[in-house]
Amino acid sequence: MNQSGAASARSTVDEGELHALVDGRLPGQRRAAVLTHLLIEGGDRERVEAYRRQLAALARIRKGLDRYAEGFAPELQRALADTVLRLRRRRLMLHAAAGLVAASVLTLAAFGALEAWRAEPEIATAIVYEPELSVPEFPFGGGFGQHTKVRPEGDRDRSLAWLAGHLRDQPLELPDLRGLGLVPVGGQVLDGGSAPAVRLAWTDSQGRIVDLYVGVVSSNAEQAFTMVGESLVSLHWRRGRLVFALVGPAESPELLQAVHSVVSGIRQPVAPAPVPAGKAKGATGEPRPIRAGVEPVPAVQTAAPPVAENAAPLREVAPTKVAADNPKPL
Amino acid sequence: MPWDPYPDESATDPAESGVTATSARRRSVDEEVLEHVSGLRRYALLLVGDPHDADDLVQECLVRVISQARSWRKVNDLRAYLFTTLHNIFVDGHRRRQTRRGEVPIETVIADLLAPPRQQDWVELRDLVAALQVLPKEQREVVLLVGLEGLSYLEAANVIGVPVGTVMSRLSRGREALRRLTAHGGTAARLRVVK
Repeated sequence: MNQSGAASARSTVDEGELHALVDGRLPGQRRAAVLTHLLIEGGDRERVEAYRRQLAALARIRKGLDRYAEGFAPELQRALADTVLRLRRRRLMLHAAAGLVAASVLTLAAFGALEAWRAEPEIATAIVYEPELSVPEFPFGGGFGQHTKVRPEGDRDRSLAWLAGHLRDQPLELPDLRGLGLVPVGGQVLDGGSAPAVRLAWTDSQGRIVDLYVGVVSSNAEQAFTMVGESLVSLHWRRGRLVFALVGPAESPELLQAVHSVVSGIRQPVAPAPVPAGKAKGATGEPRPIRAGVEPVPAVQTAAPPVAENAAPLREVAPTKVAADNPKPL
Repeated sequence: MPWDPYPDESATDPAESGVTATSARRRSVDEEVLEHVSGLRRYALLLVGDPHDADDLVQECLVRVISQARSWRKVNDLRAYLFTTLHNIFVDGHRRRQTRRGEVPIETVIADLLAPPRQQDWVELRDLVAALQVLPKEQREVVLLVGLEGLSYLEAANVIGVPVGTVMSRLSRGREALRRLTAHGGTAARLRVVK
């Protein structure tokens, strides 16, 4: 290459490209230009060759020490492998749960589309389509997952007793979720809706809240959908006159286990006699404030939206209050 | 090999039909961990220059990573996470370790660990290892992460916590210093590099 060509090549190649060439990370379109530059610039070519020798020597060391950790700190390696496996299982479960939710949404969408398709001919023939099932408004106060603060634990039992008063023949007992690392932190009566309902709250070691909404319904009408806050997920089910919704962090794969614990906890209540409606301590048919049993301190849940309308004034409880029960993360 | 948090569970070897999927997964993770820890230990040996300090560093790194497993929710690359943790511990304790350096000559350790190379190869490796110990630690880190462990410039930048441009600059200066140190028949140990 002539002098002008050499000057041109030199001006377009920088030091970073020389090292990228050595490391095999130079984009194809620049490779020719850099190689041309090296043909002309003997000094740079010599340096690049030296860098390649360095790399080759390091590669020999790496190859020689390929399994350098064999037998090194076996307990730590085993513990690390256990942690990796546990994390992967958790992520797989999360993906499975997400897939389940997505499948449910798709099924509902398909069902809706099918219903719309079936309804079309009736509209076309001027017959008014009247669905057989009416879908009433959600009868409970507020929306699921919209309560940002938790009432003190003392209100939990009173809330449950108040709800049990509406069941007449069925006692209620707080499910024990400590096996899942969840510690009860409070509860409250949800007033403002047309049906009696309570909210019971648990927390994990990281202060994230899991809510169980329990309501009593008197009809078999299906309930309307309700929204939960961002990054939360809700699971709904019904047992007799009791309607349940469990709301927790979306990334928690243990919510389904919590559902099973709640179902079994409700199915086999221990002892307490049913409290007649209106007889529960502090319970009336009207919305009423619930007195806190401990001093309020800041709550830690941040994911949920603001407090729902009509909700009674809330008091806060720090998760540290229950740390002695050794809660685990979800 | 980058850590894949969502491995293809269906990709099982038909030859392992007698082995449960669980034990196969366990073996695979054990191998992966061995590979990562080997990389850590190898890197730490050449970084610190003292085998005892290097092993202390790796053990401390493993303990910290395992004890902080709750923060793994955001970890997508286990190898990068391990190297970043090791880097942080190294930087924190660099001064303390520096006072103990040189108790066991690293050239001797390398010679013991590697298969007996040819005489010419051995001289070259010895000079390189000795020269690495003379480099400023910032340059040594980059040269080893890229050259020994094969990290990309971006991965190395993330591990060390500096921009990619800084990695390129340190790599360039480090390699050039190594070249000069090893150019005249192993004078590395007698030279000092000024940053």
